[in-house]
Amino acid sequence: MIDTSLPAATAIYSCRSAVQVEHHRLPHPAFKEFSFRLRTFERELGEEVENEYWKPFLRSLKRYRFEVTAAPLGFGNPIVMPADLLGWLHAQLEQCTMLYPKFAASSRKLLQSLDQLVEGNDNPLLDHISRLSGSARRQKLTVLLKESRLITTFEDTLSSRHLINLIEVVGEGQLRGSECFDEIVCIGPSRWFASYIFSAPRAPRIQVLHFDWIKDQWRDSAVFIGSAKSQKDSGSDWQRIADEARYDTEEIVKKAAEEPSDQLEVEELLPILDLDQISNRLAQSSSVSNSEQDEAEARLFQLEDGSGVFLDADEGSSWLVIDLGKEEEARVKRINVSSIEPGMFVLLREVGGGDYIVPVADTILGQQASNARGLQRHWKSKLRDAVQSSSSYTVSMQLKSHGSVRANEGNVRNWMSARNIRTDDERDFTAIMRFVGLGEETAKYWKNAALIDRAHRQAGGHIRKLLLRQVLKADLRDLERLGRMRFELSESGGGQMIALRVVACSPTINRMPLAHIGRLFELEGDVWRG
Amino acid sequence: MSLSDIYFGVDGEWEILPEWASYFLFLGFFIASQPKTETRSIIGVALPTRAYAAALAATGVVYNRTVMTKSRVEADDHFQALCELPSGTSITYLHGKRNLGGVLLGSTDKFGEKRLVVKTSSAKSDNETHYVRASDALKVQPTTSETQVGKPVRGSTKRQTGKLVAPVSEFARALLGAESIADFTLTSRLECCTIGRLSALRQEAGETVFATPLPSATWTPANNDFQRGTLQDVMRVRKFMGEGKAYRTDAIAAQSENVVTLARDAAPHVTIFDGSAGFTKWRDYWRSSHWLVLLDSTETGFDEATRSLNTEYITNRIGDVSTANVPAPPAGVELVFYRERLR
Repeated sequence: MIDTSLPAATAIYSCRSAVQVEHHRLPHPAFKEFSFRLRTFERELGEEVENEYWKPFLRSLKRYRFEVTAAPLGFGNPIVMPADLLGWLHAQLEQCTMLYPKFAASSRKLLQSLDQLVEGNDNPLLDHISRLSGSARRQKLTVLLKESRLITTFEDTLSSRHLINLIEVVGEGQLRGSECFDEIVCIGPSRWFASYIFSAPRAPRIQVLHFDWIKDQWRDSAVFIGSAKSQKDSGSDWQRIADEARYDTEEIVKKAAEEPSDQLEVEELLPILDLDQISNRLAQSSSVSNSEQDEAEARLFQLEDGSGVFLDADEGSSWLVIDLGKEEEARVKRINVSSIEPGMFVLLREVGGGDYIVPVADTILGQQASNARGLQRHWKSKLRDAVQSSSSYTVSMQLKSHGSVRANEGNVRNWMSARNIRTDDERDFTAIMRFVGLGEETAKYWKNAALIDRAHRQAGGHIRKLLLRQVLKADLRDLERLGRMRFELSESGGGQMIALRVVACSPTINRMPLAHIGRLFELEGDVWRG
Repeated sequence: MSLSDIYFGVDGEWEILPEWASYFLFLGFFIASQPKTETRSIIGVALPTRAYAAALAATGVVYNRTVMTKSRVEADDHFQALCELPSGTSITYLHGKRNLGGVLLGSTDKFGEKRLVVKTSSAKSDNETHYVRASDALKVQPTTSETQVGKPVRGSTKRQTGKLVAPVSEFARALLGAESIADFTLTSRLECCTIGRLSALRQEAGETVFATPLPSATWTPANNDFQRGTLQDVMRVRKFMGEGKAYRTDAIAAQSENVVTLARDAAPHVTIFDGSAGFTKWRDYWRSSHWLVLLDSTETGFDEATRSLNTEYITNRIGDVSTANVPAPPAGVELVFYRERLR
């Protein structure tokens, strides 16, 4: 089976050569009023924006504004504005009158706008799509959503309107493949989407659907400095931009200059996430006394469903990922955490989090597991106690005097960590055993550590093999579309694992408690700060 | 047979290669024809899909290096042989579309290069003198010399030895010319190396059937007057053939850990980077060959790879090159072409 056949590739080139991108700017005075009131209110708050009273209030409203812009859902859809959230917002307003009287009037107006929207429960994006899907078509209408997590909600809406058989909802990842469509409707401004949606289009016609108060234009820019296209681009090369009808270059430039001031910048609507800041904050808040006992260098990753995860970034540490861009056999593999990139899928234990190797290794160890783990914990706790009562430096010096060849502060911390199984050099292990008073049982402990090490290696290989088998059988369209997929590894003792697409990675590395590594947590609180 | 006469099978019928696909054949042909003495050529292309681009370009490279190089070598040898013939030898000279009779008078250096002096006669003009360049020597053929026909060795008791030859498809034979085939199947020469996704390349090179029409046949798309084969028959990718077979191309997976070792042992005429990963990671090891950098816009690493190529362009480009002869890309495909000093 060929990934992309010659006729399929021909269809892609045809789409590229013929593509027309049209912007449809839809009016909705009530939503515009709400959006601008929200902006005005945020500005009025000034420094109070950081106040814990206002943060969740603003966060909820901004999230709502984004979601009804990013998906054609009714303004009153309970997924984007649940009744309890609306009630909470009103409760906040009540308190505000007493606590922050100077913001009472504007926050009341803001919520009045919201109430009006929720009550109306319409959405012009949805109406427009309904009309498009009704016209005679050979294929289903393809609707592209920026946020994969909203796909299911939108599909529910389509089902309730009996449109599900006329409309196919896709995520960005699906538009990398060989399938071409008649027409793609992008929900939201073009700048929200990856440039390949327009530069390597999978349809000859793309409609960009957004509200008329959002500033947006798509520019087919050159990618190579020395290309003929870049020579043309050096002037004002606004290309293929249309607004119901197509403009010529001069008209577009003129239009850009005359851009009305009552438009919001695309970036203003987007969730803002400073992964660095979050990573630093969480590292500080989780730093506890004696933290050196079970900490590791960790990098923060933002994942598809709005969650985050810290992964072990110590030198030599690796994590299991799915990379759909790789050859079939190499799609599931452990790679260095520093090599994990947006677009890859990280595999995590859904329940309990943490290291997915341990439970599988325990299954492999069988009846020996409990005793083997107990012996491991025993010598590590003795070493940890010694560090606690003095320091890692002192312990490293003492280990050297017992014959250790690699003892230093870092290695001592590493050796006493639960994620480290044994020292690389047996002389270091012997020194530790002597130092903690287990010298006579060195052989037994060394053999035990080797047993665990072997089980961990087998477990890693086994999990990879099982996952690969499931990935090869799975409908990868769903993985691409939704950005997440569950895998059942119960038979091996691994339980349920979830693959989540990486959206962004923090450039900085922080020391985090081991217990936090590989565990999903909500980034929601941080996303809507901007 | 030329590169523009290639068909592919679809739903039981033959269709001429679409424009975009022919483009990559000609792009491969073009970069292979570039001189590589003190400088080398770099072509970067931004594509809407990577499908078939590397396989077709590699086919173009091998075609150029097999057919064109052979013609050049043959013409040079033939020129030398003609120079040594006695003055007055009867010859034929292909002038335009007409094959004229005449005599070879010898050679001259009066044009700053050695040329043959040929006198022809025809119904329209008597005793016309032509000064034929070395590159056109094959147009001059002696008529007095008899072709030596080798007799088959019969009844030889000597034990036959030799190496196993991978059979050549009719497609490859038609495309490259029967006279090239013996050398093609017996001699390994690394003309081209691709770095990218092996499984995709293997499928594209080996599973899609291509064909050229029989020269004399009056054909319809549905008939069988086609010489069939695959791109692999022309590319002869070492990795996709058995041990010991004569190859012309090698293919390396972008995620391979052996790229550095392989690069040390290989010196292809052209390196084709099939996707961003191979280019971003390994380009520094392939600086002695021409580069064809094929970047799929939908790849995650596309932006990083284009940034890298732009940096290469700014840092290493020497002078301006004419793009007049570069095959014009299909609509929507962006191309950059420059030269840099060989290191």
